[in-house]
Amino acid sequence: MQDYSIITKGLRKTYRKEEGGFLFKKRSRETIVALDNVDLSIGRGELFGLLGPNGAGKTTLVKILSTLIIPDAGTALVNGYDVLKEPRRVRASIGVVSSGERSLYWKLTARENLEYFARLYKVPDDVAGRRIRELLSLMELEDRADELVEKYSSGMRQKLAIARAMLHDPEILLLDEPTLGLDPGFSKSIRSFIKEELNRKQGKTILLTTHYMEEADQMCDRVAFINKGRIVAVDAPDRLKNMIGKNEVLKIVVSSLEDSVLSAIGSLSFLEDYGVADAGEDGGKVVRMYMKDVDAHVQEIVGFFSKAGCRILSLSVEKPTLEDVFIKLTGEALGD
Amino acid sequence: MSMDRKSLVLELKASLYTAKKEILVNLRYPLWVVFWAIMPIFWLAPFIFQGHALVGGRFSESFGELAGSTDFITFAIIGSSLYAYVMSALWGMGLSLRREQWGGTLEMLLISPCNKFSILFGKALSDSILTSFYAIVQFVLASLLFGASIRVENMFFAVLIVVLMVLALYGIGFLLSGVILMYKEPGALLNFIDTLIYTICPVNYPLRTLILLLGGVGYYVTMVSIVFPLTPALEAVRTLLLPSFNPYLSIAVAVSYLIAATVVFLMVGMLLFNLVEKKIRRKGGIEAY
Repeated sequence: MQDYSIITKGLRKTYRKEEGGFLFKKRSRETIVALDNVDLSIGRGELFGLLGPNGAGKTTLVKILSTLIIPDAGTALVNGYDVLKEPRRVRASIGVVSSGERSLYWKLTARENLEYFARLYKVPDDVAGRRIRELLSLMELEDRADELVEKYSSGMRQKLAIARAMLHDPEILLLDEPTLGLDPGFSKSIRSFIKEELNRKQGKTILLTTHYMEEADQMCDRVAFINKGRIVAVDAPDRLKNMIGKNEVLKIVVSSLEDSVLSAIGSLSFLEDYGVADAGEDGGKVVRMYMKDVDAHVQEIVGFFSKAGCRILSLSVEKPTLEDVFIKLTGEALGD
Repeated sequence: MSMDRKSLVLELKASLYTAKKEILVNLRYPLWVVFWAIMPIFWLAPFIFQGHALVGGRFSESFGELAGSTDFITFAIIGSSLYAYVMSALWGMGLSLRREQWGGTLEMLLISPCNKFSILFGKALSDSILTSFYAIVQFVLASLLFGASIRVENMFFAVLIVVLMVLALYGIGFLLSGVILMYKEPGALLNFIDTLIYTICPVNYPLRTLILLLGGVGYYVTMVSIVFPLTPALEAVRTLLLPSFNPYLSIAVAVSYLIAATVVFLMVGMLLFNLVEKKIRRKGGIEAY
C-alpha cells in the first residue's frame, strides 16, 4: 500500500454571501461552492500540482490543509494527522508559502524575520542559528540578510518566504502560486529550486497550486485539474496530454465568433476535436483545433474563417498542452 | 514531564520573541515612540491648569474631603499614568492582530504550531513594556513640570498592583481581540469603550464624587466602575503612594478583587477568543479585510 502525505475525502466548503446591514452583515441564502466533494491522495515525496483558473478552489484547499479554514464536510489527513482533530501536529508537519511577499515583516531584516518564525516553529536555539545561516546561503540571500525586507525585490522576498517555510524542516510544503507576479527569470530559478533542491534532493512532498500550465507541466509528477471546486482529472502531465492523442494543435485567435460559425467548425471532416475559449476582455476568441496534419489543412481553415467573416488576429501551430486538456475537459480556459 | 517543560520553554520563547519583534518594528518608526512618550502630558495638563485656576493652587480642601489627600495634582498624575495601560492592555493585542491582517502576516502566525495565546501574550507584553516606558516618561515629566509628592518606599508594591491590573485587562483584551478579528473595524467601539472607562473610572476625580453628584444612580455607576480593574487598581496604588489618601475600597478588598478578576477575566477572555477564532475559521475570513 502506498504511503500518502496528504489524503482528502469528500472535502466540501461553501461560503455564504454577505450583504450590507446597519450594524451586522446579513448572511444571504445564496452560497458559493468553493470545494465540492474533493478526493485527493498525494504520495510521500511527490511533487503534485493543483491546476485551475482563478477562483477554482485551489487556495481554499491549501487553507483547509493548513488548518486555516474548517471544511463543511469531509476529512483531510496531512502527514497522517486529521486537520480538525490534531491541527497543531498538522502545522508542525507543513511549511506554507502563501500570499508571497506580503507574508513577511517588511520592517524587519531577513535574518530577524527568520529568527522570529524559528521561535514560532519551536526550532531550538542551538539549531535555529545554524538553520538560518544554511537557508540564507541556500537562497543566496546571505549578503543582504541584515537589510530590511522593504528594500528587497519581489523575487528576493519570495525566496525569503520559501526559506521561512523550510525553517523547521517540514516533511510537506504547500506552495500556493509561488511564482505569481515574478519576472520570468526569477520564476525559472524558483521553479528549478523547488523541483531540484526541495523535491528531488531533500525529498519533500510538495503540493503546488498554480494557474500557469507550463509550471505544472514542467515541474509536477502528477497534476490535478480543479474547476469550480471539483477535481476533474488527476494524472501525470504526459498521460493527461495523451488524452488529446498524437495530434497537432492549430491555435487561431479571432476577433469574434458567431454561434453559427462555432457549430460549423464541428463539420470540418479532418478535425479530431476542437475547443474555444475567451481570448481576453475585448471579446476575442481562441479556437484550438486538433488534427493529424496541420500543413495539409491550414489553407482550408483560413478560408473557412474568412468566408464566415471572422478576422484572424493570429495563427500558430503548437504541441498539445495541459491547457488543451483542461479546455477539452471543462470547456474553459485556465486564464493568463 | 521533561517534554512538557521543554514545550513550555519553547512557548515562552515564542512569546518573548513576539514581544521583541513588536518592539523592533515600533522602534523602526521612531516618531511614533516620541509621540506616545510626550502626548499624554498634553492630555493631563488642561485638567491641572483648570484645577489650579479653580482652587488657586495645587491643594484643595474640598478635594481633600473626598479623597483624603488635598494634592489633586499628584492624584491626577497617578491616575493618568495608570490609565496609559488601559488602552494598550485592552486594545494592543487586537489592533496588532488587525495590523497583521492588513499586512498579510496573520495567516503565517496562525499556521505556526505554537499556541496562539503565546503570540497574543507576546503582543500584549510588548505593549506593556512600551507603555511602562511611556508611563515613566509621563510621570517624570509631569513631576518636573507640576511637582508630585509620593511615598517612594511603597513603589514596589504599587508596581505589583499595576502588574495585576494589567493581567486582568489582558483577559478583556483577549475578548476584544476576537471582536476585532470578527468585525474588523474597531474604531467606533474603541472610542466608545475608552470614553466610557475614562468617564466612570476615577482617573482624575475621587470615586466618591460619583455618589455625591449622581445620588442613587451614582452608587450603581460606582459599582460598575469597580468591576473594571482600573478602579480597584487606582484605589490601591493611591493608598500606597499618596501620603494621605482616604480610599473608597480598602487595599485588601482592592487587591483581592484584582486577583479574582485576573483569573476570571483571563479564563473568560481566552474561552471567548477561542470561540470567535473557530467561528472565523469556519467562515473562512481570517485574512479578509
